[in-house]
Amino acid sequence: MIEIAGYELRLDRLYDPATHMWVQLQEGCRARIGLDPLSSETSGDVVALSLVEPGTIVAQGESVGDLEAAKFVGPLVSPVTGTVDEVNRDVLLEPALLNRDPATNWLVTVALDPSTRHELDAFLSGAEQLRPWFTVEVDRFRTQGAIAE
Amino acid sequence: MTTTLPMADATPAVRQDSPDWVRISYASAIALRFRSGRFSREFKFGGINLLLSYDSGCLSDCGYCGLARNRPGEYDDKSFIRVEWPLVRTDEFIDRLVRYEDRLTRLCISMVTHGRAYPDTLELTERITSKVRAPLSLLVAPPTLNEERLRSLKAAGADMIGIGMDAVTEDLFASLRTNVPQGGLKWDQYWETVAFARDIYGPWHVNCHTLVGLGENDAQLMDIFGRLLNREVFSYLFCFNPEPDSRLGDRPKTPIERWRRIQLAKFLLEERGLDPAAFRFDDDGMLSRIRAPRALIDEVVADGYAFMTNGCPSSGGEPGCTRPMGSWRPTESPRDYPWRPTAEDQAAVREQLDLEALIEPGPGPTRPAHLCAPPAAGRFAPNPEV
Ligand code: SF4
Repeated sequence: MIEIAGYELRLDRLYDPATHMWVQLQEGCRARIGLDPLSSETSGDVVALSLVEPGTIVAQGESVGDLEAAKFVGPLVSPVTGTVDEVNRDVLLEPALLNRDPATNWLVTVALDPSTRHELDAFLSGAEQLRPWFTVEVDRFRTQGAIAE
Repeated sequence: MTTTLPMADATPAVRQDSPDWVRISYASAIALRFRSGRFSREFKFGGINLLLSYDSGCLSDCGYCGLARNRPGEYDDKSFIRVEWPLVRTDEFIDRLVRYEDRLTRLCISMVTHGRAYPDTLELTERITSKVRAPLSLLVAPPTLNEERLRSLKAAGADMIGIGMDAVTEDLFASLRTNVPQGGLKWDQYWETVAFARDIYGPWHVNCHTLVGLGENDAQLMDIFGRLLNREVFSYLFCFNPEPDSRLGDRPKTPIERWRRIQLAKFLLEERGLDPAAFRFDDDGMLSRIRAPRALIDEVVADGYAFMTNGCPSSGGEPGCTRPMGSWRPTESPRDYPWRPTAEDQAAVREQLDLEALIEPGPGPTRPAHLCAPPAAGRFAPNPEV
């Protein structure tokens, strides 16, 4: 785990700079995905969540659900291509978990399409890659006024 | 991430009551950086709404309100217009108003019915207006006020008075706000406050909040809009949005088609001077036709201001209090737009209005322009940043 500008990022996973999602590779060519801490915080208080059903095929950039916060709604964009094989019912029942602990409270697990594994190459990992990217992103959201002071 | 903010403790050892603490709308909390978060769409936002807060809550018991004291749950757990209103320390709140002053368009203190509401509102008004230049409205609780107190609040710096009439007929008012357990609010007293406020604050410096969807019909709404227009008092439209645990929690939200027609009709009556006879109602008193030149209607829809939030303006006459998502969820089509409707928004509005069925050819405005209302949604300066 590292801390960047007050946010904790776990080093056991990859981060997609385009979607602000984390991707944690699992056994059997599967990936668990969730919100990175900046995405969780700048959404505001999450009040409702929807996720696609297991079995849904998603391409990178397609939605695996929607997140509704107090003043914000947006799609949950899949950073990877594959078939959703598990959804986290706990976060559906209690969406605020995504604010409380976005690193533990994953959204869905996707069985990756082997032909699109190259998608993972664009993701960031390790302190050296994460620090410069995340620092700039925190600044960007701060300038937008999306982060409490 | 752990950030320490000057917010309320979850289990306070001492009371966190006004005037030392106030509740602010979630949108205000984002604007003043008390809370992290974003709006679904980017737009300029500077209308800060605060609400007095007491451990014992509001002493009234209105059937549709999220703060009514006669329902299960502690006051702290209740939502006002659905989303939580964070509790913040007043000193810190005022410091932040100063820090972000260049973005503020309108400030508003909402009173509740409580024994301390008047002295606390007076104190807050003085403290805020001594530090910040943004204009300040008061959404008042008539049972706590009289003529002299309204004068003192003006002397302290408030420039507009809002009266939460909400129910637009005496019967409806009585059934929701008077003849209920711990009710007792009085229709006549509310109108007396309108009259005093109008005398003291002047034309177009008083407004009545009118809620669409409590059980009134459209003819009754148009009637109150007309009466207030003649008194040079604004009516500001609000859309009924059920509070989950209120007595009206099961009542459906006002259908958007009805809401849009009321927005259009109100605008045509107040700001474009259409004659009251141009509005036709069915046997149930619901708006069935508007007789007006089609070009006028098309121009009003394209202009978009009719569908923006009614609210007190900024000091320059721009939209001031826009209450984003106050009565609609981010997942829904906006009821009242806090931004100028875009081409896409206008297309949705047109569909919701079903103009072919609503409009029939008729004469143009009859009310002289100088007797029409100023813009209830304000007007952006040229080249607005939406
Ligand atoms: S429109 Fe806004 S600022 Fe004006 S009285 Fe109502 S809540 Fe307050």
